[in-house]
Amino acid sequence: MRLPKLDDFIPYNELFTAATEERHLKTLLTPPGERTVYDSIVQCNRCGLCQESCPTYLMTGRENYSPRGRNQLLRMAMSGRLRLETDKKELADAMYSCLLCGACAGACHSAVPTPEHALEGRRVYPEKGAPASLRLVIKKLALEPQTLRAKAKLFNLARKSGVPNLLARAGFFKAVALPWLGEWLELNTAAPFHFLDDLLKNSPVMSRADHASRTACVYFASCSANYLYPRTGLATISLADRFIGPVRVISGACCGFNCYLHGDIADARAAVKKIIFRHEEICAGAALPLVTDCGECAAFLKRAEQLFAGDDAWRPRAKTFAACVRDSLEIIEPEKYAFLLANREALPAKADCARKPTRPVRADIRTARIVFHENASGAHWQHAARRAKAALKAAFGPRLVELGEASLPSGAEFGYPLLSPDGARELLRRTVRNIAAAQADIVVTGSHASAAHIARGLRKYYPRAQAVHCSVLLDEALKG
Amino acid sequence: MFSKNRFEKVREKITAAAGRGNVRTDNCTLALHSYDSGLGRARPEAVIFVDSPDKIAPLVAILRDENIPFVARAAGTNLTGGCVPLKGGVILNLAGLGKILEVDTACNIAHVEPSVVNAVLQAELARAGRFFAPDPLSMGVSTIAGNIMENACGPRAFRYGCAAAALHGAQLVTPDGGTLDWSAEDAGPMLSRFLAGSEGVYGVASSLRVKILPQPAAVRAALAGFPGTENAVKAVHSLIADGILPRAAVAFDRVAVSAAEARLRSVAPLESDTALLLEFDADSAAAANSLMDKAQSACRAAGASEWIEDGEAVSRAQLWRRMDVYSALARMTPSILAEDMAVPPARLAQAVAAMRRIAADCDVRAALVYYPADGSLRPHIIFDERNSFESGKVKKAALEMLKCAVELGGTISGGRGVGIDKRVAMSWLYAPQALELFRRIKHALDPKRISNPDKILPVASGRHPDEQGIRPAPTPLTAAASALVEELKARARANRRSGVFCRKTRWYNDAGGAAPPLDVSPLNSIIEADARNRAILAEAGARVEEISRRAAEAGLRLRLPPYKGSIGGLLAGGAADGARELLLGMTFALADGTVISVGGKCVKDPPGCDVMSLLAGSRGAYGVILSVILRADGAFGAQTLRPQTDFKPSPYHYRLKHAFDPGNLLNPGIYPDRERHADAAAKA
Repeated sequence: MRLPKLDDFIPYNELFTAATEERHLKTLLTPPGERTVYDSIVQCNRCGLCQESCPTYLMTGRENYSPRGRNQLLRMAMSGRLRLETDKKELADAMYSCLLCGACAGACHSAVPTPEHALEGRRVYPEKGAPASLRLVIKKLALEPQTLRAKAKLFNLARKSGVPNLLARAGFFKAVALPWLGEWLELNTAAPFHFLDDLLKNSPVMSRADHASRTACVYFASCSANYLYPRTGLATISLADRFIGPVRVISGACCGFNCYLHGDIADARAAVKKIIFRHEEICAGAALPLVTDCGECAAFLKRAEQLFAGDDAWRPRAKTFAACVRDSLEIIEPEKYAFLLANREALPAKADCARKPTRPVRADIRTARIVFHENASGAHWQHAARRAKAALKAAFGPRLVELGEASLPSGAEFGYPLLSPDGARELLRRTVRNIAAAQADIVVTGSHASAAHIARGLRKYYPRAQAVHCSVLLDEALKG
Repeated sequence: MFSKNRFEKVREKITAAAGRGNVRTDNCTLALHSYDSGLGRARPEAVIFVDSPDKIAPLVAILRDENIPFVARAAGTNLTGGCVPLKGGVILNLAGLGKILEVDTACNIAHVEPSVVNAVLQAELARAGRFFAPDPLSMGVSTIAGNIMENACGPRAFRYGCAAAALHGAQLVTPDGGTLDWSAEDAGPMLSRFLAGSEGVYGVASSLRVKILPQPAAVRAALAGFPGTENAVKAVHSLIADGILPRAAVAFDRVAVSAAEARLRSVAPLESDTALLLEFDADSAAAANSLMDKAQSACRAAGASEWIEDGEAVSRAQLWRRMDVYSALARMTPSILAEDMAVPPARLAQAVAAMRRIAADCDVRAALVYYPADGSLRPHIIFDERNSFESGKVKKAALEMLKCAVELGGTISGGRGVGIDKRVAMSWLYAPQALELFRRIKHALDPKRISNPDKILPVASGRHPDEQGIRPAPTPLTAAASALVEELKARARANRRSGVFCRKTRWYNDAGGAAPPLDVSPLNSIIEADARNRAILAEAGARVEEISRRAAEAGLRLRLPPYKGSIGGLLAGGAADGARELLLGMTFALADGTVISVGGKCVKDPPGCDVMSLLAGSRGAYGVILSVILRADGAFGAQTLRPQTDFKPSPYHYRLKHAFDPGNLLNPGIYPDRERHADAAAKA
């Protein structure tokens, strides 16, 4: 069937002015093809099918908080029926209330990328989003991660005293206009002094020597894996080594996703370029998979080409790089995992780089009831959950039970708890209710943010259960 | 057109009634409620978010006092502009009323708030081994109230009926702010059934009771490929003739098949011109398998060259996903006009060919999906609505297709309502006298015209001369019927009343009062037993037993009760459960002798105003049934007689009586209360 030509002369307003143009994307890479932002928005034909997959619509029942509503608001703003300035309050509210989970795009007949549209809408009103202090931290993390490293160690040391958390509970950070820091402290209880790259310092995986022929894959240590959850990083490296081959690690770099979400696209591009450089250096011409256990990083890096859509020099490199990215959920072959599990006594022991023996999983893996929560980045942005679920099924059989609303976002996604803490808590309560209904002992997820957020809810409402990253559980199971 | 300050006068009262935070008049919220899933646009003056069913009546009462129109809306997925506030006014957003109140598996009834999503109800019912029959393609997001109000239909409609058949009862907030509770078990006119398909023009449903069915033990599906439409239609018709009723039978033309296959990049794409997706259910796996074997034989005999059954290689869900034409088309262009209409089953192949010609003539790209069992057609026309030239062609093509359906004896809605977009087509489907009656009914029940105004009925009062005679002429009246009509006219001129009766199987002694009798029993012909369309046309006085015998002789499957009386008496007396679902069409006379025909041989309810449900159970007080067209494919039956009960008309019934028979000339004893007559006349 011949595709219709779009009329080039249909007038509409861009979401940016000459002064703000650099904040925005010009085109979007959508499933039906590359489109201008307006044409991508217009692809929404208002059928409304997205509504029942949208957590904010399910919570409120209001069109402003539905994917269709968000698309139509932007469309009307661009076609002049609404005004970006006069209608700022409601427009910004609609865009910033979006979880960006992408469930709508999965449900949509046309796979309309509403999260990308919401992000473009947010870029019109940056002052309504992350506060300046948070944007500064995000920028530093992306562009100068090494300068933050020492500060992060000191901060984690301070956390061990318990004082920062006390201050957070007392509302101190709200009082000093850093409410996001208080939320972050409640969310992330992990405070390791030894980061992942500390633990791997003398490991061959950190070698920067050009040993491409002996390297089968690259592990990208996200900020959360490196600075907060090194145990997860170790588990993923172990699994990658078993399922793909010898691993080299890229650490001390930020993928730039937070800049893409809350800051400047230019900073996000700069961050991604660094990783692409490092990956190309390790690969030396080969297309080695780049594995990460941060679902958000994986989802973002897989879209690297989008960042460079207008850059003829970088776009092909980004496309090649993006094709190499793998979520840790995707690297486990269920049949092979089942075989390894059945023969684990014969497996060669992996050197545990942890400083002291740890038992990351409290429950007895041999008897625990396990549920799999499909974090948004894995389920909706990447559709990566299937393999991991099959591996979990192979490992745990009937003890892997169905979680009600398994793909409903927990509220952890993409900085939501920091921007909309009340909405995030509402979703978290619903998630924990489903976990309790399943009488689970272990909740598995493919995202550090989801695991931390769910853990927070479990501590409060259902302390019997523990949230762990999928890599940790699968690795622990192999170790017996 | 309307005063800007109209809503401001009631803002305080409305806010007090609805709750602070539930009343929005900002630009964005109004803009977001100016559309639904169709092409129409109109901006409301305010949006009220209703968070409790008890708030609906007080809110409507306030709006009534100021003559402010309102439109009820939940998911807003209507395709014909049903949720668009043409006259401004207020949107009552009911999306928050989504509770499933009760599931009664003993009586097989579910009691729900209006905005329970169809798929959510299905999931809940599945836990109890039940399902809700209506399965419109929007069921993932559309609500029960929306389904009922639009009389939504999906692939299961032929086997299990449209949404109207699934309605057991409702609580309705009327446009004057009152609350009425109706049930299918009520004596008198079938008001709850009348509500289905009314598109919100008679009020707002604040809760609904719907019938649920036990889940079948086994369901099987298959995808067959045919060289052409006629072959697919023949296959389905032969199955139905053998008494095998498919759970679903959906056919796709070549354009639809290509689009679907291209989306999935099938390894082994279908090569046939026409694909047919069939589903069967049964009480056991063995029975379902047997049905599949028979289906395959029938399809092969009709020329099928491809046959893919569900099984290990491909699941039933995968077969449906494979033929998800809408998703395929939605990726190709920004806009899809998903039109819908229906024709008598025997005319379906002709209709498909005609639709293709229209699409070519109008230079639009259309994929045809159609249901061979019940004659529904769903042309999907893809375009870009920003292109006004292309949009014009698409709208023209859609109207031509509707016209074509009417010309073939069909109807203009297969389950998506009339709304705004098809108002003009109502003039093609109905004679002026029918439209006039619909207007009177609307006026009787909503004199201030505030409940979803300007929907369904055409705005232009006269018929364009070029559009005369689009609809095939109804079957001429027999001599007996003509004589009865002339008698009615004469009596009306003399203001003489009539005690309407037929065979007196169920005799309502006081119905006629002191009025001279009017005997319908001479109208006793069985006019036609149409095997191709699986329908029987019989006069009202024809005996039920005789009709059953003639149906059996013609190889038709018509399940009527062992009733000694006439078909007209059975229907007008409300004597049998399920009789309404056998009605495809009706010709009746009003008290003044005006003859009105609605429906035909289409297996779909006539859209717009379900007068057949009002006449059924009316005991001859609204009109005199002259003839009926009955569905004879075996999908439905009316085999249980109801006990004879008293009927005491309510004020609502009196208002309907005033719309049909303002002089109370027919069976005046049923509506004896002069005060209520006066009240109805005053409200009119």
